[in-house]
Amino acid sequence: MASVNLQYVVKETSTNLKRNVFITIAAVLVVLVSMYLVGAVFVASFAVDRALTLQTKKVEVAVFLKRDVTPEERNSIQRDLIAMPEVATVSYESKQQAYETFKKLFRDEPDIVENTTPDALPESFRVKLKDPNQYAVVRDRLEGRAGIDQIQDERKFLSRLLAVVRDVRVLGIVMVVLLTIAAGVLIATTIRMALFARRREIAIMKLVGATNWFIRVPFMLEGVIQGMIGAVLAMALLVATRPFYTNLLKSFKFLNLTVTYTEILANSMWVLVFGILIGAIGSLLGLRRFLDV
Amino acid sequence: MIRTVNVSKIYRGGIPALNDISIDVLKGEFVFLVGPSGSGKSTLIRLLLREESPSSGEIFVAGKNINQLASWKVPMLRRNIGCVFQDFKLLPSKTVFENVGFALEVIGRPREFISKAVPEVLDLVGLGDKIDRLPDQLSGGEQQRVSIARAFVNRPQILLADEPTGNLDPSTSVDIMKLLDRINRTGTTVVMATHDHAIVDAMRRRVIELESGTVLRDQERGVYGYAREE
Repeated sequence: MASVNLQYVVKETSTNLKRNVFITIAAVLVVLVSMYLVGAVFVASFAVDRALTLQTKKVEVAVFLKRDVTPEERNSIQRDLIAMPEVATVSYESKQQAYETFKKLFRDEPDIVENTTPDALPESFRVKLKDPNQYAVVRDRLEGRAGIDQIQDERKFLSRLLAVVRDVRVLGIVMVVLLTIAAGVLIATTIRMALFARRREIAIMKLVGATNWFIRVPFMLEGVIQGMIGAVLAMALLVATRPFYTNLLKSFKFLNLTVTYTEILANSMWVLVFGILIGAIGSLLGLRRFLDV
Repeated sequence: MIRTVNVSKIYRGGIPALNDISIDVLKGEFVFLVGPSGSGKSTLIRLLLREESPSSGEIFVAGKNINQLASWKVPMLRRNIGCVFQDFKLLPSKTVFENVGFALEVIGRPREFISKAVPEVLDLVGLGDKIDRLPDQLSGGEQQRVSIARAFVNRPQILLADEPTGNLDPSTSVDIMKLLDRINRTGTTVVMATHDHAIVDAMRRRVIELESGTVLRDQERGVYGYAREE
């Protein structure tokens, strides 16, 4: 009996898909676009989160010294820094080392590098804290000391960056939600049309005592297949367009945002789950009123 | 087999379509439901199939209160009731065999069963030689036979017929009635709603006459009525 049902379901589903070829294509394409964006948001979130975590670990407090700092002042600051219980490591960056870093950072803009001399850059102590949140304690203790020009917490830049990332992510999620709704509604519409095309069959099926699930399953499967095809295509497209967006991401020099093909695939598995869910929910939406007994 | 207890059906904001109907149909009976259009015959049939629920009162089919039936059990109720309509309700793209087989297929009967049961029932209704025809290659009477075959192929306990001869000429109608009578003789309870005086008068079976939703008359071996206008 199960085999008869399976055969029936396959037959009915494929008839329905063929009958509404154009609207089926439209539904699949909308699923494709929305699932591509869902996947992009997932992959991007993964890459950004990883890069930021890495960066947070590298974050330091920079203690810039005055131009006219004396060696005694410098030594005493270093001694005190090392003695502080909150401090993990202290390293000294000379004007020359600062210049090297500067050169690396601006390697694409030779004009700036040429017009800068090592002497124009300040020497500094690079301080790593055991707990980055204790920045204020360290700063208060050092503030106003002779020889210190400025104390900077690099986390500030990072938190600004984090705020931007958060905004972009919210925007992305809003778009994804809207497109997902559109995809679901379109699938519901194709199911509605398939139901309408078969209303006589359905009326007879109900009359002779077919169960509602028996009537529903081919239609649900139709929606699920549309969602699944769209999602699989979206995954393929995500993988295929990797060269394009890794190029784009390279322009963010200070964060390493590149992702491997495997990472793309792993993160876009959710796309498949989403696609199937949209198909199922969309078709249930389309079936909702029609099958009330 | 069928019992209604003080059944009323009031459609939204309107006059009652059925008003306090209590009837009792025994197993194996043949009952005519007569009365003018709008008297409530079709409403009663829809209630028996639980396509609708009564506003008040109770309906028992085969001993079960069908108003209290969980909605997922409604298909099981319908498998026990065959239905025939004035407009046949055949699928035009399916052959005679497929139309009858469809009713078995969608309730999950195995294919071996279908390929045996369908020709059998088509022989019974006299269409054994037209098994591969499409509905529009058949006469109206033949189409109604297909629809009766579909209703009966599952051997239901009850056969409901809503104006089955409404679209047929008198001599074809007689053939359909002979067929329904034969089905009734196998022990199937038959309830038939009709306008057709000649048939009711010729068959001399129980007649329940409805008017404006109430039972006007319930008579063993009755006739359609006296000088009643259509």
